[in-house]
Amino acid sequence: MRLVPDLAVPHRPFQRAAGRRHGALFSAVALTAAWLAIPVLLGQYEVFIAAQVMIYAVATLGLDIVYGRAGQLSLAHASFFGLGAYTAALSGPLGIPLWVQPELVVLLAIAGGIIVAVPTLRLSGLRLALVTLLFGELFDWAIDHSLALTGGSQGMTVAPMTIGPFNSQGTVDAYLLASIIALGATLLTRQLARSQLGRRMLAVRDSELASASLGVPIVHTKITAFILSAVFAGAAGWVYAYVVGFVSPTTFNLFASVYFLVAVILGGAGRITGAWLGSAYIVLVPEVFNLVGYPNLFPVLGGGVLIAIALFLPGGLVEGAALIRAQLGLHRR
Amino acid sequence: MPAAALADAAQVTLSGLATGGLYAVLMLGVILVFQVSKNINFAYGQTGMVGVFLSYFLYAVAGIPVVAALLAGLALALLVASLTDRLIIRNIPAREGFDLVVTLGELLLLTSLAQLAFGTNAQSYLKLLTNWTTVRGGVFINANDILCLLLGIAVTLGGHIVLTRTSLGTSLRASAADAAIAKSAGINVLGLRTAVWTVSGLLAWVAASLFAARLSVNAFYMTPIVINVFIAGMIGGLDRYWPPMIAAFTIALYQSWAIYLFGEAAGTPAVFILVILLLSLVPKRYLEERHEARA
Repeated sequence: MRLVPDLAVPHRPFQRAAGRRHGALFSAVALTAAWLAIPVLLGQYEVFIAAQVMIYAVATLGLDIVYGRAGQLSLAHASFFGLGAYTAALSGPLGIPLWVQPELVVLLAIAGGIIVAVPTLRLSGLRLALVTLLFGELFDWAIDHSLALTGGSQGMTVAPMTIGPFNSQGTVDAYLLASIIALGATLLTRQLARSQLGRRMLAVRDSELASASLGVPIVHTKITAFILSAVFAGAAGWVYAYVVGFVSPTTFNLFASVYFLVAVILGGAGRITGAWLGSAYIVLVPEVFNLVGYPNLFPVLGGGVLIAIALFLPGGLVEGAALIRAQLGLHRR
Repeated sequence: MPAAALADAAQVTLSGLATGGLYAVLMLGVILVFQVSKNINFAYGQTGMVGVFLSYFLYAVAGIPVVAALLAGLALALLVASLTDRLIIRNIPAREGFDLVVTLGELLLLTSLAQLAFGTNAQSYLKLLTNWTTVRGGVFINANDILCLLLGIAVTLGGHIVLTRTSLGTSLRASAADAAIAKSAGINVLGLRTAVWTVSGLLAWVAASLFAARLSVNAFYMTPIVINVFIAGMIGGLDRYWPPMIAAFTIALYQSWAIYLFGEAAGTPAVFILVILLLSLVPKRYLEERHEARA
């Protein structure tokens, strides 16, 4: 046993910090290069798909906040996504000016988040999942039964957002719009993870009893998590409608909520990179199946992947990558 | 009250109680699984659905005799239920809510596999007495309704008798209360648990078959039904016996009356309003999930 401290030890934290800084810088440069290369090197359709990955990443980050960080299983997430999408879709017919719409989406999402959060504050497990699922079903029901306004189950087209030469359904413009919102959501989530609120969420997820004994405001933390999650999903849905140009209830039903859950768990709950990997999976893999002529295989794979990841790699792909790095001796010392 | 209104009321009540009978059949499976293994299976309804769809395919498409097709469907439902326990539930990591997540994955998997194998169009299943109807006092009495109601009552009473009056029930309750002590007392806890999951598959198949006879069905048809059963379980409490079983009948009756009074579209919001009211009104201690260690 070593009783005398190793003189070499104290400088290691500085080495680690420097290593982390270099790693972060390298990642930032690589990501920026990839972001610039996509619209230059790829075709219009691929750029459109990349925009969708970014939009879904924002919504997935939202579910990651409420489920991955605060531990509240929500099966109404696709409904918040739909709330934003239908706000964009209905704004044209209802004559709501463009500059009011982002504020309106945020306000509606906050209201939706509170409406879902308040009755579920005392619940966990099955009860929480069921009540959030009921909210989702109610949203679907409302869309289906407002045929004149929303087109019901047939869906409705959405006119593009136009500001001068900018057209949200133009490929590069859609890519830019999605990039802005994805960057904002990622930075916000990163900041949240470092904040007191983020740590409170983790504490509530790990043990409500212990958190309460340490003075963590459980109710406030849970409601905030639901609101943030709803705002992320609502904003993503709003951009989605303007980029894709069509909305229908099937994009926002229970199965859509399960896909968001697949994205969070596949990537790794509570991790930003995980949310991005998960959203890439739920957007890109269906496209691959479409390309090879088997579009119906994606839901089968989705179910199988959710089971396999939850059973064999509960920390998701990010944890899997860390394990592989550790096995290969590539982990940071 | 005019005779026509009385007949309508009796009709709505009978229809609601018949649906409640099938909810009770499903509920017994949910309660048994929850009490013995402390898990919730979101794919419970799909377990019965795949059996029904296989039966349909075998007799309607492949031309196999109906009885053989039904037995094959039942065997598939039992296999899926027992494999869910053996391959999935027993391997779930000890993280809160992962049984819900994993069985949501199974729900997605079974639904999409059924769509892939049997198509996405709605199908008409075996009649199972739905075409035997008589009129008594202005009320259309369907033999299938009576069968569902009687089956629900029989299963409810039978479940109670098995759980409280038999050695099997004692073993089940001992395993539910403390698996380690039950094991040390010589009870084959894991075997019993798989048997319970298999029985839940049987109950899911019976209810799915009878629902399929009453509806035009696609791969999603059991999902809203099972959601209603889970809501009844949430209201009654899955660690009890009589409250959730009675809630199963009550919620079906309530929904039936809501649809009768306010139209077909009122079914979903009526259940939603009921749940929100209950959550607002019931005491906090009633909602504490002291027995839901993992669920």
